[in-house]
Amino acid sequence: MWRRHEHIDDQTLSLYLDGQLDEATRSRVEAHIQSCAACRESLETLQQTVHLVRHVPRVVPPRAFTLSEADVKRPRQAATSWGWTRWASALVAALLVLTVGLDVFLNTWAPQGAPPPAVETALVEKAAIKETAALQAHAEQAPTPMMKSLSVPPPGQLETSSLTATPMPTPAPSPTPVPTPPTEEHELPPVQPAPLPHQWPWYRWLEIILAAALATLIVLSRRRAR
Amino acid sequence: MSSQEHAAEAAWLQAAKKGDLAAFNRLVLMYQEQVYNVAYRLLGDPDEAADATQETFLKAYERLHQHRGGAFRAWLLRIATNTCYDILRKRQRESTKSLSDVLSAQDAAEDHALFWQSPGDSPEDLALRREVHRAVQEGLLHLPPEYRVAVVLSDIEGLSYEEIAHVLGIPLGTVKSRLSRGRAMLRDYLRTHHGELLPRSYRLKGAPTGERDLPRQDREGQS
Repeated sequence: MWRRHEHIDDQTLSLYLDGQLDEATRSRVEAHIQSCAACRESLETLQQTVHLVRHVPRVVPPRAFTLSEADVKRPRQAATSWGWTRWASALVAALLVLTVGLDVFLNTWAPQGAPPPAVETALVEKAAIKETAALQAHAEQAPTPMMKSLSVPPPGQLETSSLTATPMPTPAPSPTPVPTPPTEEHELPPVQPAPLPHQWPWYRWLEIILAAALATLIVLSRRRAR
Repeated sequence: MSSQEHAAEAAWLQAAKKGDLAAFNRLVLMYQEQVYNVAYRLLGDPDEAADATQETFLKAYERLHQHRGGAFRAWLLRIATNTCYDILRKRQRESTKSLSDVLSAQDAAEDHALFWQSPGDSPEDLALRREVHRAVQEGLLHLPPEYRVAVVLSDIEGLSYEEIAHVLGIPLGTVKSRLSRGRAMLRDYLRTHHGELLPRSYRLKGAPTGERDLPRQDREGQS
């Protein structure tokens, strides 16, 4: 194992000192150190080092570390409120992911070939279509729950209402409207697009609000954690 | 630990889990010396070691419900070492304390007689002990924390490899390599800075036959 010019590595020496080597290795170590002065010195100094560390005096604790009722009350409360903010953060983060997903989904599936600004008008158009469809359905028959979820308020309205909600640290999760598959919309009669000013779609605002809420929650929980 | 002590520990632990603070405090009294010593050797600062010890027991009380059987000592020391790591990380991040600050704080702390738990020492013994203690503590503080903790748990606290693996949550092989690396680095430090403490060339009188458990016996055996 260790020939004339080879030396025993420190790990083997350390294991040897702890009696952790198997019989065969142990014998080889012992045979080698008889003939190798360098390894003998390594082992002796290592042994002495371990010896010194083992004989370092114990330090006496400066006081008793027993806990009082007051000690254990405070941290427990902190722990629960931390738990609450953590759950809220997780919920908001999940909503944010959903909204971003919706954003990406809608933008990826928007009619191809239209220049970027037109994408937004197309989306507004979709919303308007949905609304008309819902109104028509309402007029013709009792609204099914599916149809009800489709009747989204016009984008403009939602934007302003979400805007007023911005300063709230935890926004109530606004009902995320179910996006209708594009195939359904093609069957609907074409309606004139509602002329709206160039604005962000509602979900873009929701993203910002959710991101802000998430940041607030993270700051809040960090402050409470310690 | 005797089986009697073991039974007492189990009983206190069970009562503490049901919210009995007095029972938990029995465990605190049982382990505070060890937790404080680990913290002191890892941090090198008596005040920080006291803070770490206090925090360890607070965390342990809060997380008692997470303790699912197994050795309480290893579980407690795991909290203790993690608490010390946090303090070391914070120290590094804020660079509030350099190693030399710690070492000079330690010099001041050493002047308090409460450090020494060895009755019947002659003044010469005391002086030698101080020198050895200072050299070893300096050397330990020069080690990377993950090596330092292995050396402290093995050679100061006398934990087995398995127990160290449990405390640190690392495989047995990693314990072996960190411990041997730490010891070797400590030896190199002592050789460079405190050469007088290490033997230059004394002849090994044969191999240490029949001393398989040399390290554990060594604690009491030589001095």
